[in-house]
Amino acid sequence: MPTSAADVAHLLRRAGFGGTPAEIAALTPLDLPAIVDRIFDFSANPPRTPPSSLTDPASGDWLRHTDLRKWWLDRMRTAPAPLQEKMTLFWHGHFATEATKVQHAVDTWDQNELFRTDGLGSFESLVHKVSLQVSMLVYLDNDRNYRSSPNENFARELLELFTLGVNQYTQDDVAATARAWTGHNVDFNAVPRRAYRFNPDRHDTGNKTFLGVTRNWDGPEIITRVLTVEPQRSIAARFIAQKLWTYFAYSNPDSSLLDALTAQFVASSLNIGALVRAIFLRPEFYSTTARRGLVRTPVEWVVGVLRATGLSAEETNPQWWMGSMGQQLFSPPNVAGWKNNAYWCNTTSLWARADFARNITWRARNAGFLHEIAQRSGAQHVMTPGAAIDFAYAKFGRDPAVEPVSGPIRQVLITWLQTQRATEFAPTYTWNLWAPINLTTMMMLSPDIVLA
Amino acid sequence: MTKESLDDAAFRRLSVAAQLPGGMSRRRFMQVAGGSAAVAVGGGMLASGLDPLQAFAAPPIGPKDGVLVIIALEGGNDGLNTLIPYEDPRYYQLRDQVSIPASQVLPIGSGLGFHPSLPKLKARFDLGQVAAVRGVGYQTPDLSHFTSMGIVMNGWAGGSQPGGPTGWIGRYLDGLPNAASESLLAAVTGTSVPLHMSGSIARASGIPLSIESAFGISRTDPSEARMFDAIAAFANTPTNLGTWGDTVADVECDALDLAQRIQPAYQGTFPATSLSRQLVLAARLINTNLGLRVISTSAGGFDTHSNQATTHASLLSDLDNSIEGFFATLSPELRSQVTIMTFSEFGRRPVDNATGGTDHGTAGVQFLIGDRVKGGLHGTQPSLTTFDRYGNLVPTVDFRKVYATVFDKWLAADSQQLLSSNFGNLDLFQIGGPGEGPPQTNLHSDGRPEVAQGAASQSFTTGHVSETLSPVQVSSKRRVRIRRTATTSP
Repeated sequence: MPTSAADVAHLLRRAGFGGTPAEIAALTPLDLPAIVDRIFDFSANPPRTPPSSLTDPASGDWLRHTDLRKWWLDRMRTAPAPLQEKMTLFWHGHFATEATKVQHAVDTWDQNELFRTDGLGSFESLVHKVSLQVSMLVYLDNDRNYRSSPNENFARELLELFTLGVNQYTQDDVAATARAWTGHNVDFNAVPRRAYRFNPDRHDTGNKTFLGVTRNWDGPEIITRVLTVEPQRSIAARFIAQKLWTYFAYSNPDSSLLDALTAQFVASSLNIGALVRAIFLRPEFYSTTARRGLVRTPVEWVVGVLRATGLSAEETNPQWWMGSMGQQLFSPPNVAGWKNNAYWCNTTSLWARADFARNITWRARNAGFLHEIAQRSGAQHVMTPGAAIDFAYAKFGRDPAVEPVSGPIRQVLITWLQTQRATEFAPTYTWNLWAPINLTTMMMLSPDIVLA
Repeated sequence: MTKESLDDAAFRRLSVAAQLPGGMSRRRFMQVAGGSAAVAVGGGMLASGLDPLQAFAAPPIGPKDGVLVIIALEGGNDGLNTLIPYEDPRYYQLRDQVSIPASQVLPIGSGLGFHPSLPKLKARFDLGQVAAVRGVGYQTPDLSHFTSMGIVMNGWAGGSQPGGPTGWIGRYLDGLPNAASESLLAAVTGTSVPLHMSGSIARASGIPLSIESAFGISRTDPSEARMFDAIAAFANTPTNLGTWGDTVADVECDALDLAQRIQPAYQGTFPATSLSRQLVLAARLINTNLGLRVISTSAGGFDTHSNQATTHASLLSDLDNSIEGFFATLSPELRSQVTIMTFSEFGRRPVDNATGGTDHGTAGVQFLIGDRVKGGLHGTQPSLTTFDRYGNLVPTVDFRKVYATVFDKWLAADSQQLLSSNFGNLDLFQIGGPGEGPPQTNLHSDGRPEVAQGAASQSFTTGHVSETLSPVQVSSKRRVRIRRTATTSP
C-alpha cells in the first residue's frame, strides 16, 4: 500500500533533516514499514573521517571543536541516511557534555562516534559505555570521585537525567551511587592520551544501600540494576520513551501512548532502535498534533537551510550565529541539554536566525541559487505571484502541492511580492534583484519553514 | 490559545523555556483594536504614523514605580565563602581547604565579613546600600540543581498550577497592563527566558548582548523595510499552523519591534565579561525608559565542586565589578528607583570535599542592593553546629519571604496573591519606597545611611523566622491577579 507524499515528507523531516522531491517520490510507492526499514538502513552513509585538525598537533582544541561543529553539520546535511545523525544529536542533548570543560576535542569526538555507532542499539550498553568515556568522566567530575570524599555530580545525573528522571530515587541513593563510582577515574598520564582508569585504592569497597539493597555496589552495577530490574527498568523505559517521542513528535503525549511505547521498549530489552521504529509506526506520529507539534531546533533549521541552498557549513560558518540561536553543538547550556519549542521562541534566538538567514541569502545569490527564483519572482514576471511563492516554498522543502502551507502567510507573501514588483524599478531603486533576495530571506523565516 | 505546560523535565532545568503567550496575543490585540489588522501588508506597518505596535507599549516608569534587576548566580553560590563567619572557629574546622583566612576577610561586624574579592560591595555595604539576607533557603531541600532552581524560580506555595508552573516574577508581570501583548515589561539578557520570568500570559523578552547590524535595525532601504514589515505581518492573523506556528510569527514580530526600541542601549562601549556587559546593558535599558519593570541577568560557574578558591574568587570579583559598573551607568535620576537582587539555587555544603571544592548545599546569602534598601544584616546566620541529615545548613529564612518583601515593598504588588500564602515581610526597604509612596530624594544628602547598620536586623531574632518555613510545593497552581489594574483581560 503506497504512502502519501505528505506522510513521507513529514517522516523524512523528523527522522532526518528533510527529503528532496526525488527522495520523497522514491519512497511513496512503499508501505510505511518498508519506508521505515529504508530509514534505518545506514549502509549508504559514507565512512567517517574527522576533520584533520583533530589529530594535528599544531592545532588547538578551540579550533578542533569549531571544525568538529562544522564537520557534524555537514554530515547531517549530506548523510544519505540521516537518522543516524538525528539520533547522535538526540544523545548529545541527553548525555550532554561541554567543550570548555571536556577540553580535548578528541574525547568529544569519541563520544560523538559512540552515539553514532550505538545510538540505536541497547540503551543499557550505551549508558555503560558513555559513563566510562573520558568526556563524561571529566564533565561530571567522576575523574575526581574518590573514596575519601565522594563527588556526587555524576551519580546524581546518572539517576536524574540519564535513566530514571527526578523523584524516582532518594538522596541516599545518590550518595550510595557516588560511593559506588569512586575510583572510576581518569589516567591523565596515559599514552597516547588520557584514558579511563579504575583506581582500586580510590574505590570504596564498603557496603552501600542502593534502592534498599545493601551490598558492596560497584559503579557499573548501579546501571545494570536500574536498567534490568523492575520497577526501575520500566521507569527508565518510560522516561526515555517520553523524551524520544517529544524529540520526534510532540510534547506531553497521552499516557496510553506512553504505556504502549514503554511496553515495546521493555519487551525489546531496551533496544533503542525498536523504540524509535515503534514511534515512526504510530498513527499519532502522523496526526495534525504531530505535524504542528515541533519548532525546528537551530541545528535542524540550519541544516535544512543549508540543504535547500546547497551551501555547506564549512563555507558559511553557522557556528558564528548558533550560540545566539541557543544551540551551539558541544556547548549545551547545562548538563540537562537543550529543551524544545518555546525554548527557541524568544526574540534573541529568532533574531539570530534572521541574521543568519540574511547572510545565507547573499551567499546563496553568489552561489547561483537565486537565479531560478529570480526568474520567477523578479523582473520577468514569468509566473504569477502565487506560483512564484509556491516555487520558493518547494525550494525550502515545503511543496504546497504536497503539504498545505499557511494560507494567511502565503497571502502576506503574495501581497508583498505584488507590491515589490510594482516598485522594483521605481526611480529610487538601483538594483533589480530585491524581490528574489528578500523572498529568500522571508522564506527561511516563514513559520512553515521554522516548524519541523 | 492552548498553552503547553512545562513538563516535569523542563521544570527542573536551570533555564526554563519561554512560556507561550496565552491570552491576548499581539495579533489578537490588533484585531480587537480594529483597523490595525487592516494595515496594508507591506504598507509600512512599523513605519506608519500611528504605529500599532507602539500604541500599546509599556508605560514609562513613573515616579512611584520600582525597578528590579535580578542577578542569578547559577550553579549554587557558596554563601559561607561569600559572607564569611570568620570569627566562628567551626568555619575553619569544617573547611580546611577552601576557608578564607580571617586576615583577608573584609569585616562588616557581627563576626561576619565579605570575601576579599568583594571590596566594592563592602564599601557599598558601609554606605548602607546593601541588605544581606542570611540563611535563605527552603525546607525539605533538594540538592539537584534543576529541582532546586525550579523551586526558587517558581516560588508558589499553593500546590499544583493547572497551566504548568509559572515564575514568581512572571505572575507579577501577568497582572501588569497589556501583560500578554507587551514584550518590554521585563527582559532577560541572553538567549532563553528562565522560569522565574515566565508567567501564564506574560513573558520577558530575551535581549541579546550585542546587535551589531542586527536584523530589523536599519530601515533606510525601502525595499528592506518592506520586507521587515511583511515578516511582522506574519503575526497579523492566525497562521492556521497551530500554537507553535502562531508563536513563531508572534516572536518574529516582537523581534522586529524590539530591534527599533532597544537600539539606543547598544550605543557606546561595553566591558569585557558577560555579567558586566549584561549589567551595563540593563542599566542602559533602564535609562532609555522603555517601561521595563524587571531585568534578569545571570552568571554561571558557581558549581564549585573543585578548585573553588581560584574559581570563586574570580566569579565574585566579576560580580563585584559588574554591580559597580551597573550603578556607574545608571542614570542618577533613576537611582532611587532601582534595586538589584541576587539569588542562587542553593548554597554549598559547610564541609569542603577532597578536591578543593564544596558540594551542593542548602541555605545561602542573598543581597539586595540600591539606594533605597535598608542596609545591614537581615535574617539569622545559620548554625555551623546543627546540620540537617546530609550535613547541610538549616535555612532560617524562607526564600519566599524575600520575594514577599520585594512584591509588597518594592513592586507595589500583593505578595499573598502572587505567592499563594502570607510569608510576612522582612524589613529590607526604606520607608517611602515605591510600594509605599513617592520616593524621597534626600535620604542620602549627607552621604550617610539614614538607617544605622544593624538596626534592621534587630527585629529578627534567632529562631523566629525559621518558624515560618513551610514545605515547598514543587508543582504549581493557578495564576492570580495582583492589585494593579490590567487594561486587557485574557
